Amino acid sequence: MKRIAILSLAALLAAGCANTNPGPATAPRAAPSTPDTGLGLVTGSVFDVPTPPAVKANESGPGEQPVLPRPYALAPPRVPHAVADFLPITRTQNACVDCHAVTERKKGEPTPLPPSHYTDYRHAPDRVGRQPAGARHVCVSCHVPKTDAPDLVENRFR
Amino acid sequence: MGLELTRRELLKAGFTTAVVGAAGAPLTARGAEGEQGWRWDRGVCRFCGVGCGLQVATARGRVVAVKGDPASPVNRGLLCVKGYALPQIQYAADRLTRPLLRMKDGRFDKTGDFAPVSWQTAFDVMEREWKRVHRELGPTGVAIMGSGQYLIQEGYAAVKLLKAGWRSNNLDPNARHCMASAVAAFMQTFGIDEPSGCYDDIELTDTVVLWGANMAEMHPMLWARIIDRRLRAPGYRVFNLTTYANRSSDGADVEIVFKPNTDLAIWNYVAREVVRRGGVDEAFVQRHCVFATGPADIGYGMRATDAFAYAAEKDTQQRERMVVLTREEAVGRRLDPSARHERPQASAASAGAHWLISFEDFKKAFEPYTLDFVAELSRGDADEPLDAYKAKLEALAGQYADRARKVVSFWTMGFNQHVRGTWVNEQAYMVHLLTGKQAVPGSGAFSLTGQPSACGTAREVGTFAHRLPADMTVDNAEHRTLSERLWKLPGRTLNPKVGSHITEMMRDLEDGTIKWLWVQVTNPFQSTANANHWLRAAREKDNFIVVSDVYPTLSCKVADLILPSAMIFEKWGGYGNSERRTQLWREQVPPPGEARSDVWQMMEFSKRFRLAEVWGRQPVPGLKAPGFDDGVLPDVLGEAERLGYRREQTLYEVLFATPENRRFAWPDPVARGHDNHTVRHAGIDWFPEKALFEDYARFGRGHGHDLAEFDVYFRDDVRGLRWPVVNGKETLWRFNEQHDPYARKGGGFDFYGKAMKALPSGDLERVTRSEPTRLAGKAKIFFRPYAAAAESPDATYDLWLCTGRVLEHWHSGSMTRRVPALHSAVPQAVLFMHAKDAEARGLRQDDVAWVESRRGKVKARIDTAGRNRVPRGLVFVPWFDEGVFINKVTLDATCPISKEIDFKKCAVKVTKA
Repeated sequence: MKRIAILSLAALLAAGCANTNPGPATAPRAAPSTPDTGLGLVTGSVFDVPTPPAVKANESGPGEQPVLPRPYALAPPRVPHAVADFLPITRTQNACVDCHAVTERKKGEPTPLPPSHYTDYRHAPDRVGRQPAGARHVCVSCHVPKTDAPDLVENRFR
Repeated sequence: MGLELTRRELLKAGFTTAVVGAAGAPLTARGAEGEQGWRWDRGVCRFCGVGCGLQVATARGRVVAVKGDPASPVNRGLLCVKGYALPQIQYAADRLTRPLLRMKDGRFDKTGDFAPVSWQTAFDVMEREWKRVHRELGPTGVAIMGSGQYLIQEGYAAVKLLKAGWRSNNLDPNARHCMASAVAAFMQTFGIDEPSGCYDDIELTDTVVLWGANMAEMHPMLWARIIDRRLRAPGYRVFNLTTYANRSSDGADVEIVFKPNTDLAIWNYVAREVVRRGGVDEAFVQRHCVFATGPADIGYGMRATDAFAYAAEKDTQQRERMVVLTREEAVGRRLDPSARHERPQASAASAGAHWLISFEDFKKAFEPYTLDFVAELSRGDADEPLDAYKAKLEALAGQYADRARKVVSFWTMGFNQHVRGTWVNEQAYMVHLLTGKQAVPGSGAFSLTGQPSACGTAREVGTFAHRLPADMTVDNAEHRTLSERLWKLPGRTLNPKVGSHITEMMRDLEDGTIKWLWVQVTNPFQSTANANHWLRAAREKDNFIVVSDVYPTLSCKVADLILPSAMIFEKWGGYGNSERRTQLWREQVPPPGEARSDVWQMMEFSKRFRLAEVWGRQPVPGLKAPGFDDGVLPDVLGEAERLGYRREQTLYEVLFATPENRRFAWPDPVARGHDNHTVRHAGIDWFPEKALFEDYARFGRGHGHDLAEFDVYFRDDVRGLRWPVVNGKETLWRFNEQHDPYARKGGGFDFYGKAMKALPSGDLERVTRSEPTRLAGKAKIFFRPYAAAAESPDATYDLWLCTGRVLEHWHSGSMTRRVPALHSAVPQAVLFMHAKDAEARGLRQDDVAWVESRRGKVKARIDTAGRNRVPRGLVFVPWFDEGVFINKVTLDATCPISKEIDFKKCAVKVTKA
């Protein structure tokens, strides 16, 4: 077991893995002698009642905003435009597919559904169908929109 | 390794889909070497009870990607947005990496600020405080709050440590808040826990009925399977029974919005219709079922005393003692609705008692539940025409009554987090058993589990105040004897007195009967209703609270000591999902800093206890059991010595590093080069996660809970196995002689669960013949009456408050709110409200409002246009946001049988802030 060392503030703030360099102090919550009010996603006393900040949903139209970067290649992309007008997805209506079921990628045009979305991995995994797979019908299970809310805590995934 | 261009790279280079062709980026795992030096290995999702299979990619000591495992029968290569966020959940900047202890002047001080300390110091303080409390209060003064997100191995270690080591039964999981009602109903109906069917039923059935389960958001990959089936099979039908329109409604054929708690009445209407329309499978019922009922005046699981109640909550609290029946309750119980019925809640302590009744009495009982009565009572959307609502109820009944139609009913928290949760679960079985639509491919009542291992760990391992592994209970002498034998304990080591359930633990903190608490893998101070009480208890009472977690949660803020813990892919582990599928995985990357697995933590802490300190005579107030002196656990040290133990041996040696467990050597070829930080930091040469798994599996093998051997779960052709696994074969439909090796042949079905299978008989009010009838092989069809909620809207608090989750956030948000995409999508908990209700209160979209009950108030922004379209009279607030701490407002009334809190119903008022 480790002995207590006299640790520098920077080392204490380096909350990441052993493999990462201690980053800048983005979350000064691990400083020596932190009051409990300094911990957590919402600082302050647990007995306080904060006022939730005002948040704006993304109001851009399709095509107005660039494609958003993904944390890793296999992650489903976020929706860069507002979604309120295109929901709900029901059994019979899917406004997402109405635009995105195109086959060619063209600048300024909706991002095509990839071939993976036309493949029924449960029943016919080696075939790319003509319709999006039924299991992919509810786009919003994977593809979420954004708001203007800032990150609560820095995430150091890379 | 050949260079293989991915589809994406080709598209980026300008090639169209047509050119790139069909295959796209292949999703099959590429084995040890892969793309860009990534190592892929099997994993399971950290989040919901679906239990999606994954492949996890690591490189240079970090998780870099996940994908849905195409080979997993559960999700076939798909994940929901939370599953895709898994690579990011462990990398937020405020990850806990050192123990943090409240200190002043260099010493532990409950009023101090948190300072980093060593593990040694942390355990020193934990030990000192434990022994101080134990000297004062004995085993009932200490407690562990565990979790349905515990690994199988963690839960088992906790059971051994607390029950076999400390002789306490104060171990209860957050799964009490989640699945307890389901478990109680399984035990009462079948005598054994967990679903008879499996996910295959989704593709095999004709009708899916969701009851109080927003599956589109809460079990998204199961919903994907249902929608897939719905889109391809023309006759497939989906019904959504809910108290507000939600995303599951969007995909359903029929949405039925009902008033809170009236699900009880709707089931009785359905049963009545089934009988009336000739939908009863007479042969099945005759051969395999009996009818039963129990007492109705059972209270609401609230405190028996109002000594701790705030002034404003005393009127609700007193319903624990006395209830005046509503008109509808009277009708539902065949009492004169024009008379006043004051009912003392005399059966609160015996709420689970039940007895056999005749089929005639059963039919008499549901006679009042006509379409007119039930429609009037249960219609939840006042703006929906009554005739339209009635037509839907008739259509619903038709799905069950139609002999030719296979039906699966799914439910989760709407049924379980319910003051009559056990009853409403039993009603689902009532209809499925009456119609013979149970335990067959494509038909069954399927209790869906919320958490990733409430089944695999909490329920199967028995991390409850009343349980031992494999469905055994502490108050059963035979079960204790068997457990003592398997654990090599002296006789009468185990404590026969049921401990405190998780809500009771909070109350015990408040009244000082628990003074030492270890919280593991859960955030109970955010997740438990009526939170203002427990926050004060934690901070202001003389107690010591340790929280093991990965991030500083709200529970950490009220703790005295915080212990940094390893996350899912930072340790070897296993989970069991809703369909009984046990899935194991390897450690992928090391935990950061000084974070350690919970198994390591428990093993290390167990070294602090010598047998002489825990196995001597111990007080257990209220203990009364044959073979035990009242109020006392005997000294078992003499017997321990006869078994070969020494008084100076530690619990570590006796419970964990046993000769049997140390036979599982580390390194182990099953590791395929993966590390084990628990082994490394414990400085041992044996494999605790495998040893504990095999140690635990002995309980279930041969008893209907068979797990395969540890290594089998790591075979390349295995993606988890549904127990019981017998001769290498998993069981898809239990109790069905064609599918379940444990079902005796000859009858078609054998409901072989053993618990509560000898019952007295009586009428609808009481036992009239105490001589027990044995019910081997049978299941029970319960009659349960309609009952009102513990607290309903009134003139002051004029709205129903329902709480729950949203797709993007898991539970208290400690992981998902630290993932940028998830946080951005849903950055705060909003108050979903009907536009007319908002307008009447001078509120508009996005306004800040107070939502207030007798117990507390919080602020939230109004949403009248979001994904949940509530009817007039009801509001919904998700609980993932510690900044909108809605559990300060909710009520800690429980099902009196299961002790599960009803998070779905209490009365609030909403005003402009």
